[in-house]
This record gives sequence, C-alpha cells and structure tokens, in this order.
Amino acid sequence: MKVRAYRKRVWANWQPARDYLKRAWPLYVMIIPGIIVVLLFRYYPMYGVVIAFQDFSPAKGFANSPWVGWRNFEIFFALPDFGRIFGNTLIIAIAKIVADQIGAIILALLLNEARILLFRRTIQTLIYLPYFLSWIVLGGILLDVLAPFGILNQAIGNFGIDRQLFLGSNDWFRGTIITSGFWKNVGFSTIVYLAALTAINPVLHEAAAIDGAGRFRRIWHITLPGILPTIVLLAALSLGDVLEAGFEQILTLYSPAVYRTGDIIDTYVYRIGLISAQFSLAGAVGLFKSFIGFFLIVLSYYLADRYAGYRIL
Amino acid sequence: MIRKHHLQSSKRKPSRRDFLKMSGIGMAAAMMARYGLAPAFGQGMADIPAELLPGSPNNPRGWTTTLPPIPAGMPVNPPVTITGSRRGPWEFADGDNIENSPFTRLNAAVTGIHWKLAFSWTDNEEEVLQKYNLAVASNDLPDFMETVPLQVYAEMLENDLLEDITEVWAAAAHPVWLKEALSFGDGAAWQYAEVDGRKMGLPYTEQAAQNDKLVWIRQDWLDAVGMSAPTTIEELHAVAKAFVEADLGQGPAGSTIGLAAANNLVTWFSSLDPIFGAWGVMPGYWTPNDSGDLQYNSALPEIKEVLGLLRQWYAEGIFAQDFFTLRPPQTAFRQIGGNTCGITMSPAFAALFGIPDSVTNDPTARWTWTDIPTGPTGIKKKAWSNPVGDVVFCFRKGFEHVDLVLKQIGWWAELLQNPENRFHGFEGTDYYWRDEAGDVDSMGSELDLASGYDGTKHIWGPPGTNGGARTDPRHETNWIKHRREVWANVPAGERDAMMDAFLGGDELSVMWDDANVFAVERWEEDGIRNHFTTFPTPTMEMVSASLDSLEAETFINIITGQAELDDFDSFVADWRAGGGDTITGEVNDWWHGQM
Repeated sequence: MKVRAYRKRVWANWQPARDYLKRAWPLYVMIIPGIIVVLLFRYYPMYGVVIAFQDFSPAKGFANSPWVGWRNFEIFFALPDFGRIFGNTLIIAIAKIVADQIGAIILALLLNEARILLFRRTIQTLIYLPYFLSWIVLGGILLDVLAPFGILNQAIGNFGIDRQLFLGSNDWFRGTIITSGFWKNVGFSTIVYLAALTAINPVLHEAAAIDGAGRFRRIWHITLPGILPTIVLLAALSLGDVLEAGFEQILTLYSPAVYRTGDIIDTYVYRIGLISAQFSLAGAVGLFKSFIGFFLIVLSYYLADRYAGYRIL
Repeated sequence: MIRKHHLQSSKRKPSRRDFLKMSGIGMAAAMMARYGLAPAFGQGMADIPAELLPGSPNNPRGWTTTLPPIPAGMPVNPPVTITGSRRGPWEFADGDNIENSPFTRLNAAVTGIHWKLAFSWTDNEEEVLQKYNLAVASNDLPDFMETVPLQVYAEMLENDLLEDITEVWAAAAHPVWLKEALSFGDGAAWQYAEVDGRKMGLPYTEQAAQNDKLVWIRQDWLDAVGMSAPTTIEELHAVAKAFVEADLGQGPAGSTIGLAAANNLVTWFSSLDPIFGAWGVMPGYWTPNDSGDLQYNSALPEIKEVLGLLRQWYAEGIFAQDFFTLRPPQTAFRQIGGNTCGITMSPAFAALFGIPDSVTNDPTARWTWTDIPTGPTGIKKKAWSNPVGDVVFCFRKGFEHVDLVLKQIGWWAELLQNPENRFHGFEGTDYYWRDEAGDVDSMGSELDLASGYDGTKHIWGPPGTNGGARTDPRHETNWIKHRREVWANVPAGERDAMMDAFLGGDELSVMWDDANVFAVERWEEDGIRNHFTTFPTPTMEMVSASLDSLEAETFINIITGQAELDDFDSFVADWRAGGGDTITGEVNDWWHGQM
C-alpha cells in the first residue's frame, strides 16, 4: 500500500511534466539533428587542438606526433612582428566594430524616419546588397575604384585634391579597410536595429507629437531609449570579434608596402603556412585566438545580462 | 553532347590556362634529328589490332601514327593491374572512362598493364592535399601516385612510405626520352624527386623557358617617338621615359606608364627580373659566390644599386603609381589590355595573354618583342625558370612493378614527344572529322587542332596527366621547329589534314612561336638559377615569413620613396641578425653536402 501510494504521489507530481512532454515531444525530436550537428562539427573536432602542443605530422596522426609542450606558442609570441600584427589586428577589428555599430544605429534611425515605404525598402536593399558579395569580387572592384586613375581619385581630383594611393599608402590603408568593411557589412547590421524599432509602441510617438515634440526630440527620448537594450546587447556580443579583423578582405587588398599598418595575425599566419605546412603553429595561433575570444564571450554575456537583461540560461 | 560543347567553347578567346594546356602532346621534338635515330617499327607491332591504333590512316587526307618499338619483355604475360591516383576531370566518348579508353586499351596491348583508379581530384589545391593526406593517414597508398604536392611528399619521405627507384631507373628508363630528356639544367630536373642522391620519384616537367622574360614593346609607340627597340638598360629607360612624356596611352591624361610591374619584383608576368639580372643578381635567389659558397642575393650591394635606379624610375612616372598592389595577371588585363603601358618584361606567352586584349581594345596597337637589355657592365641575365613543377610522381613503398611503369612511361614519352611519330590522339576521342573536305577539329580541346589539344591527360603517368606534364622540356619548341622546317616544305596541295590544321595561324600566334623558340635558345645561357633547391631549412621555417615580409616591404618602400635608399643597409643588418646568418649556414651545409 505504502509503495503504491508513493508511486501515485510521484506520478501525480510528474503529471504536469508528462502533459508537457506529450504536447511538446515533436519539438524535442526536431532539435536532435541540430544537436548532433553541433556535437559533430563543433565539439568533436575540438580534440584537434592537441596539435597546438605537438609537432604534428599527418602521417603520424594525433596519436603518434611528438609532444612539444608550449613550443609553438613560444614561437608565435617570439615572432619579431608579433607586436605589430597583434596591434594591427586589434586596431582594425575594434574600429570596425565601433564603426559598424554606430553606423548601423544611425542608418536604422534614418530609415525608420523615412515616410515613403518604397524609398525605404529600396535603400535598405541597396545598402545590404554588398554583404552578399565575396571579398574576392569586391576586391577586384575596389582595386579599380581606388586606383590612381580610378573613379574616386578622378572625383577628388575635380576638387583639386591630389591623387591618393588608398590601398598603397600606410596613411590610408587602415581607413580603406575599415570603410570598405563598413560599406559591405553595415546594411546587414541595420536589420536587427530595424526589427527592434518596430517593437516601439507608436502610441508613444503620437503622444509626444501631440505634446509638441519634434523629430529629433522624439528620437532622443523615445526611439533611442526603446532600442537601448538592443544596442547594449549587440555591443556586448561583438566583443567576441576583437581579434577578427577580416582575413579575406585584407588578403585581397593588402600589399607589402602596407604591412606596417595592415598586416594582421591571420594574414601573417597564412604567409607562414605558404612556406611550409606548419599545422601546429597555425593550430597554436587558432587556440590563442579562441582563448582570448572565450574570455571575451564570457565577459560579453555577463555585460549583456547586467546591462541589457539578456541571458541564455 | 560533348561535341557540341566543344564547338561552342572553341569560340572563346584563349586564356593562360589554355596556353598551359598547349604544352600539348602533338608538340614533340626534332629529337630524332638530334640523336640520329632512324624511325623504327617495333617488334610485335603487328600483334596490335588495327582498331587500337591512333591516327586516321583511312580517312581522305588522313595520316598514320607510327608506334615506337615495344619495350623488351612487353606486353607482360600474365597482365598486371596497377592502381593509381589521378587529377581529373576528363571527358570521354560514350562508354569510355579513365580506366577504359583508347589510351588504356592501346597501353594494355603494348605493355600488358591495366590501370585501376584509386582516387582522383579536380583542379583544386585543397582537394589534392586532402586526398593525399587521407591516403597517408589511412596507410592506403596507390601503387603509382600522380603529382604529389611537395608538403605531402616530404611527409611520405619522412615516414618511409615511398619506393626508392634509383636502381630500377638506371636499368629500365628510356635512354633518350627519359634519361636524356631529364638531364637539363645541371640536375635541376631532379631537385625534388632526388633526395640525398636517391631517386624517390619522377619529376613533373613542363615547357622550358615557360616563364623566361623577353621585352614586349609597342612598335607603334616606338614609331611615334622615333626610337628603336632598346638593347641596354639605359635605352630601356630612355624609351620608357619617352612613352610617359608623350602620354601615348588610352587612359586619362597623364596615366601612361612606361614599364609594367607587379606586386612581386621577380614574378611570372610583368617582372623586373631582367633589370636585376643586368647587375648579375636576382632577389630571393641563392647563387654561388667566388669562394663557392651560396649567398642570398637580396642582401648584396648590387641590389641596392638596382633599387636606387628603380626608385628614380618610379619618381619619373615610369611605373604605375600603385604597381605594387597589382597581381601579375592584373597588369596583363589592366595595363597591357587597357593600353596604358608601353613595355612589359613577360614570357613568350604574352603574345596570347594580355596583348590580344590590347589589340582588341585598340586595333592600331602593334606589339613586338626583343631580347632583354644589357647592363652597364655588359651583363645580360634573367631569372631562370625551372620547368619542374613542385609536385612529384611517386611509387608506393614495396610496389614491385616500378620497372614496368617506367617502361610504359618511356614508350609513351617517345610516342608523344617525337614529332616524326605524328601522334595526335585518337579519332573520336581527341578529334573528329568535320566534313568531306577533310578539315579536322579537336574534340579534346577548347582550342582548335592547330593550337594543340589536351588528350594527353588520359594517359597514365608522365608524359600525359592533366595539366600537361612531359618528360622533355623542349618538346614544344622542337615541335614548332619541326612544323616550320619539315611540314612547311610540303607543297600546300600535298599536305594532309594534320599538317593543314597546325600550319598557319594569325600574327600573334606566329609571334608567340618565334618568341618561344628564341626564349628556349637563350634558356640555359641567360638564366640565373636559384641553387637552393631543397626543402626549407629549420630556421627558414621559423623566420622566413618574417624575413620575407621585411624584404618585400623594404624593397617596395624604397622604390616608392616611402623609405630612404639607405634603409637597404639596415634591412641587410636586420636580415642577418634576424636569422639570415643562421640560414646562410644551414643552406651552405646542405650545398657542400651535395657536392
């Protein structure tokens, strides 16, 4: 009797869960493939990080390649150009994040204020079109546009400004990288802000308008506070990208003349790889970047929770 | 289907790829004449069924292909099956594939070898690495491995996975079409395939002097400024400067440049290597000095002189302001094709790459070529291009039929590379008869028959393979000579269809032929050879990326005026302190060990 009663009590306690599962089991089944994919392609390959501590050779495999401890990291940090490539990476990546975030907010606000729907949609499509082109294609276009006798130099020539080597001079290269990266990505970044803007209750705008608030006042007091959590969230989450300066972009646009200002960790490691297949050194660099990225992501989630109330668990 | 595809695509303009494909087979050699061998019918040729024979003897104005003597002991009985890896893709007539085509059927009849495909890849650097790495990791190597990339090759050597073929080579390799053909450049053919004096594979050989530079120059511009083609560095400078000052280009005012240059000073197109060569040095190369040690040329004082000269030329507007951001093909399309440049120091194939664009965009453009210029002390040198690619044909350790494969390779090498044999593949696979008049069109090629075809990619082992490996680097030049010296003497009415299709050609392709023959003549004499021809030393692996960056940055900045000319001296000091001295030691240890 006792056991029976106990069972009954347990089953009674579990009843809501059972009802829930009865309703929701298809959803759980549906995420199984996703979990498998993540485990297979994100977690399973992680055991490959061991090559960062080995003198890896594909013929010997992970099991038999000799262990070398921290040697690959020591080589990396002792590279004569380490300071330069690390600095370039940070400067370019941070400038890109800042430009992208601020630009996206401003563009989203402007688009939000545009009255004619067709105009807004057209502009929106046009600004996020470059996002879908690869850097290989855009690199060719930029090379033409920015050439000494290209469109841009012809245009500024009309104002009496001397021709500039936008891709070939250390004064301009970072600016060119940041601007062209901005041009390519900003349209896509505005999408999230535009979505956040639609969530603002139009009643607030109407009330403010009746009270005599102008456009700028309404933006300042209603729109911006309305999307502030999104701004904080995206800014915090982009912290994880501070070592991602844009490998493909720089590889297609740089040249030896601008190594001083434009050579980043990824392009440098790429050149090392060209000389001989140094899997282990590349692995060590990748692990180093992931290590920093890991802390920044933890930090960014903490900040997102603290200031934007965003949490995943 | 296949035919239609090729008819359509044959209208396309030839690209560099097509050009490379042209290192084609039919282009064989007047080697017969060189070695005084009489054409011979091999023993056992009667045993080969007529339907397996190449050529088109029975068509109106057809021709007969002569087969070389069948190697001793072949065809082997019982037949053997050998596995191999191949680079695709291929196209075959209906029902045929890479294991069963006119090529493999003839091969089986001649040698008794049946080939089985272990794995293949297409024109993709990552894919070939992946396939070979997988084969190494799973310890499942094919018997014969086509074009193994150097990094995998090094891996295989280190783990003792490859068969040492030194003795078999000595015994079974064809004396003319393998041994003699691969003896050029003081052993340069074997720079990768031979390790510590042991032959661990076969070299991948392309056309000789393929990237050796000539001076290509606008004849109409020369006429306009009233000058003649330059023969010295001084004259080259004067002509280039005159072109710039006369602003003869098609671009906006002031955009004319004298001489095309690219992001690497020594490269395969629009290169400046003949200018360095005029001082007897070559950046990035290791050459012996007076005491017999190898020295790194980039750190020599002559380089400073040349950099100073180039710096002056840049200031005068002879180079494009942004030349160092352009990759070599971009100079061909933008500067030469865009008709903003008057001179480029480029290989013979410039006649088919860049210059056709120039002529299309400006029908009055007239190009000519001349030899590279002489320096102030009478030196005339250029970067020597080794026709050996950075891949190796390898045999699995323990594979017992290396001798058979070598014999097969020798037989095909003779068939393909001796123009007297008149091999142009198989009717129905590589070409077909187009009409009653007897015109033929190549089916295996996007070009027409006259420009060569790529049917050789169906053959297992060099010669053959996708991409055009041969054993004799002069095969193409020899073929041009044969065509001009033998076929051209046949009266027009008596020529057969193959002669008709290959003779003639437009102005640019004739110019390409001339330039090619000339470049090959000067190939060994005018070339500065990089004598460091082995894997990177341990210190190189560690610091090369850093030193190379420093070098490229310093040189470009000196030329463009972003750095002082005297910065060259601090570069040399930095290079030596940053590992250059250690590398020099390691390189010389290897060098003296070699001798």
